[in-house]
Amino acid sequence: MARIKVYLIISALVLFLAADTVKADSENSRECQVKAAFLYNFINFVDWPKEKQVDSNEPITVGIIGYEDFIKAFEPIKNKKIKNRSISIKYFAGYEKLKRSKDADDHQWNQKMEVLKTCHVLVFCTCNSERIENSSQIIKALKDSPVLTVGETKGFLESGGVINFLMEDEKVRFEINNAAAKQAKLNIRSKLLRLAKRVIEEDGAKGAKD
Amino acid sequence: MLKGCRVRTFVHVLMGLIVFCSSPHLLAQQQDANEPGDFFEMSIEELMEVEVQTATKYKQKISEAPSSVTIITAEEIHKYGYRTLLDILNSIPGFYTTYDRNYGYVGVRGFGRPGDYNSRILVMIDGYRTNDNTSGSPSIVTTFQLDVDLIERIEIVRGPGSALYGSNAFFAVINVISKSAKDYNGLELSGEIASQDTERARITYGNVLDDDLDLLISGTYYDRDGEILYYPEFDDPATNNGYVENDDDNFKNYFVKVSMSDFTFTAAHVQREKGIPTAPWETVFNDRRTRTWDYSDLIGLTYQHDFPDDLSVLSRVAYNHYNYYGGYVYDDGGTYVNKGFCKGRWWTGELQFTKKLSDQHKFVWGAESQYNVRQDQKTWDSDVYLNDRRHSKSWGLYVQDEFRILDNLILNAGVRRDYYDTFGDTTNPQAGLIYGLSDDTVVKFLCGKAFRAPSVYELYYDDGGYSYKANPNLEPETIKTYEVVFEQAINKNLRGTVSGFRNEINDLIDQTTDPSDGLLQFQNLTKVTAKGLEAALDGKWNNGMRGRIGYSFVQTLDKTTGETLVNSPKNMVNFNLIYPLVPKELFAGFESKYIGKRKTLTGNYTDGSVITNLTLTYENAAKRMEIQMGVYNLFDVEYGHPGFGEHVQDIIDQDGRTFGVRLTQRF
Repeated sequence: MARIKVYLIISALVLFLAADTVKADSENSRECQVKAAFLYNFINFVDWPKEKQVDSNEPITVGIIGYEDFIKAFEPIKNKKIKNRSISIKYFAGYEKLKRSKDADDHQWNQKMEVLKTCHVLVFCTCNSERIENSSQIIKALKDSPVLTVGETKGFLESGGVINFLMEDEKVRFEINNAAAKQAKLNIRSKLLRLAKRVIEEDGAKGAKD
Repeated sequence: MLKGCRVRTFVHVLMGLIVFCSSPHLLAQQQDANEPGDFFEMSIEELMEVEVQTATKYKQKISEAPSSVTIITAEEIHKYGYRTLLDILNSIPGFYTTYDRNYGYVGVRGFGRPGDYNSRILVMIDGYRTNDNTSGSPSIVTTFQLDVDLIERIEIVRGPGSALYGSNAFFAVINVISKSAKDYNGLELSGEIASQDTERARITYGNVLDDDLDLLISGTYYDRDGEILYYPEFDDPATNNGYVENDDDNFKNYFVKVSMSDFTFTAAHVQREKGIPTAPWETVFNDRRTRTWDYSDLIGLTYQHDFPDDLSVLSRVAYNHYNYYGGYVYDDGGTYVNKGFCKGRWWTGELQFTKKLSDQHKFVWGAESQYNVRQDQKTWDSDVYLNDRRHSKSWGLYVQDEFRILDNLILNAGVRRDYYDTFGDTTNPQAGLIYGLSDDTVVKFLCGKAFRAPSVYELYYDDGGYSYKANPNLEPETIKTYEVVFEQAINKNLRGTVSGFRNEINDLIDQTTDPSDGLLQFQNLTKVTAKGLEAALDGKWNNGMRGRIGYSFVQTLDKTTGETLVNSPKNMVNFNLIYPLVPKELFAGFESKYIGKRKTLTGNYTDGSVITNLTLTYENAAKRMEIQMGVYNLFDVEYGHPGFGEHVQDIIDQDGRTFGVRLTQRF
């Protein structure tokens, strides 16, 4: 019995020591990197209305709410260009806990929403399984603005988000709420719609893909 | 002596290599464990093929399954250097193996009945049953139809599975899923040399020929001369002082898989020849003519289609072929060979519908049938002792409903009714309640009943009054299982599982001696209960590291004798770790398993043992070339497995330290 105990203790120690050395690495998750690459591709398949393309010198802005991991994931394309425009990543620290006060004319909230509206893409990053408390309220506030909202939680499309990531057999898939896209005056090209796992075309009606 | 020295030097060099490789690279790996830049070069279609592993995967895939499931992936099989399905199953918490130097046997949850030919587990390849139709035995050593390198993943489902799969799904269902063409995209050659004069070569070609046409074709050749073994039981000048040279093992197999839209055609063949060194059944010791030959074939066609409105249809048809030949040398003044064969030919057909009726109900309905064209057994030398020819049929109908009562509460219930020519019918239900306490915690309450149909061997083996007589009145044996499983995602990387179970086995088919005539006969005799606990901690990290610690405890009780079972270790611990020594290039696969003492047939005990294996995989030794080195039984521990009734040996010694080096080249 003594032998088993020694053996168990040594095994546990080895596993945890080994785990410790790779901790830093695990935070920079592969999943986020793959999703960032998806996002990069999405930008090519989405047309923003003219009002958002005034100045081609302006970068395409990708805003991130929630987990910071996406910032690191985007690092490799800092100097790349899409549609001849550079990409700028904005991290909205603390927005995941943003609350709207009961005051209908909540000045601070409105101001923050105006800032978010300047983004082309807004990612609600819940990689670390953290919740973004008021994501549906934020989405609601942005629904008429040409912002491509991207999430990774079940029910994201139903709450008005445009694209949602999901996992299937350890692979990344996505679904699209084209009705929400249209309302945001975004044109999603048919190729992207075709690759989506599920497309919501009209409010309420859900189209399933084979 | 010289050999011992060389071995030790080799181990030291290996250890030195590990230390050398791990220290300077530990820091480096944190920067370049992944190559994120690469993903941005990919198209959406390519990205959709990238595998990412997440903690939530467990939640979707395993946690909603109405049973306790372990999944072994191709990566694990590869990096731990597993060579047979037996090696793989030995690494599963709660499982242990017994090798009698001819066939390998799997024990599950304290139950590893000597001589049960593994007929109490169901082994499937891509959903096709592989248990043969004479003894109910699946092949899991070198007799397995699929080269383990071609395995994409193995789903090991513990507990009774008859409600879905019918007979043999008694203790566990093991579904082996083969790789597909896109895992190769070209040619792969692999060659291995190992201890005991072992050579192994594999050639695999896989390609997506057309948008809709995938082809995978593979062949393996294996030859092991084996070493001279020593059995003290035979240490007598008349029997070569206990030394024997009859442990050779040779097999060839091929596998073909062609997928065209919704159809998949599969063909598998294996043939093996194995010398038996242990001189079982009172045969002459050290005679190379005592050996067995196994041949099996599987030809199958699967159709699977997802229709709109959440309906999917699955249909399988297969033709199977299994031949066993045995030669056993006896001495009756002069030596002669007693021969035996089993010939099995059978067709199986299955049709399954899965329909999502609403957001709440997912319904599975299916029918399965087996027509046994031949189930023949023969034993002869100068006389014919047994010449039994049979054919029979069986069929089953099953339904299952996954009822999502609440978002976090699922009831999974199913029942199957089977009809057999031999004994009539049997009904086996199963139910599981899966309750998500939170996003990270799942509790499952499971119960179910399973059966095993008596095999043709058990029913009709009769050698004309020498030692065996038939019992055509055998009924199926049954098991009832109650289990509680608790699963907890600890963080992104770690997941813990604890389960407690109770098995109640009735009418166990067991060999017994009839006192009236002294002949052996199979009878529905024994009642057995087992209760136990299993705990496992699984870890998976993004840099390629993954590990598992498992502990299992089981207490078995034979209710007819009041004793614990033979070949039933109470305690087992396993520790597995894949560690990237150099990120994406050099991996160490370390595996260690403690198996507690096991009672033998004579009432002695084998010693508990810790067996450790270490495999190093250098993935980019040269362009598209990989080198793998494995040391098995690293610390050269002496240990043995309990022998069976046919063996003189109470304990059969297992291999000491062995080595293997493998080179794999892709084109």
